[in-house]
Amino acid sequence: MPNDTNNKGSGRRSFLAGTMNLAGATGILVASTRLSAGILAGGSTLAGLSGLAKAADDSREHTVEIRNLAFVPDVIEVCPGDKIRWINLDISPHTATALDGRWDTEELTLNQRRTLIATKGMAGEYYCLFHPHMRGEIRLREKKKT
Amino acid sequence: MKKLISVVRKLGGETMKVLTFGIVSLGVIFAVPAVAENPADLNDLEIAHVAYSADNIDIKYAHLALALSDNPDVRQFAKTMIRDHEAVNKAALELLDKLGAQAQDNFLSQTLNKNSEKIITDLAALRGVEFDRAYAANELAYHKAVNELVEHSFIPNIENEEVKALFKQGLEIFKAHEGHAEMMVKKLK
Repeated sequence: MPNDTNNKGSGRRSFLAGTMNLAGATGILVASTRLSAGILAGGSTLAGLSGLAKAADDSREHTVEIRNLAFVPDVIEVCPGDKIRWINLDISPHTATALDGRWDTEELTLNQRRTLIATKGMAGEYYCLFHPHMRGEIRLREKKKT
Repeated sequence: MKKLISVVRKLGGETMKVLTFGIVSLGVIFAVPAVAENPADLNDLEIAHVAYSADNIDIKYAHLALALSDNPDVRQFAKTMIRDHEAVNKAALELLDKLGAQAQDNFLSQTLNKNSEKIITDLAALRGVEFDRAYAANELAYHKAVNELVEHSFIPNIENEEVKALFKQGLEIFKAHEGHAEMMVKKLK
C-alpha cells in the first residue's frame, strides 16, 4: 500500500500521479415497464428524429442521461408507447419523478437505468425527488399515419 | 494558505454566528489551532481524508436532523445529505482501494471533526423551528465553506487524475446541496 510519508516538495504526491483509466461501469441494469398502462397502438414511424432507436414494434426509444445533476437532454418529445430510458451517470442517486408524483423511476444509483413506457399522462415537467432543482420535460407528439 | 485557513475558520465560525443569533449562547469560539502544517502541502491521500471527514460530518448533522426535526423539507434534505455523502464516500473508498491507497489523517481533518462536535452539541439543544433554522443555516454555511475549500484549494492541487475527477464530480453534487440549503434557509425564515 503506497504510503506517502514524505511531505512537501514536488514529489509528495507523485505516487498517485499515474494515468489510470476511470473505473468501469459496474452498475446494475434495472429495467421496469411497470408503468406501461396507456400504450397506444401505432403502426407508423416518426421521421426526422435523430439519435433514437427504433424498436421492432415501431415505437421509439429515448435515452435521458442524468449527469452533473442534470437531465440530458432536458426536453424530450415522445409518442405514447415510446420507451424512455433514464440512466444515472452521477455518483449521487437520482430519480425522475413527475411533479405531481404520478410516475416515477424510483431511485437510480450510479449506472443504474430504468425504462418506462411513455403515456399521455407523462407529459409535462418532471424532477429529481432528491435534488428538486433538477428539471426535465416530456412533450407529446402524435404518431403520424402512414 | 491564508485563504484556506480563513475557510477553515468559517467552517466553525459561520455556524456559531447562526447559533448565537438564536437562543443559544455559546460563549465559545471555534478556535482553529495555530497551523503548524501547511495546508497547501496536503497530499492526495490527506485531501481525501479531509473530504471523507467532511462527508461524515454532514452525515452526522443529517442524522441529528432526522432525530429532531418534524419538518418534511428538512427531513427530505437530511435524507438527501445522507444518501449523497454516503455515495460519494463509497466512490472515494472504492477508488482508494483500486489505487491500493488509504486516506491519511491530518490536522485539517482533526480540526473539522473538533469543530463539528461542538456544532452538534449546540444543534442538539435546539427544538422545533429553532432547530430547523439553525440546521439549515449550518448546512448552507458548511457547504459554502467546504465547496470553497474543494474548488480552490483541493482540486487545483490534486495530482492523481482519477482522484481529481472524483472531486470534480463531488463538487457538482455539493454545489447542488448548497443551492438546496439556500432554498431551505429562505423557506424557513
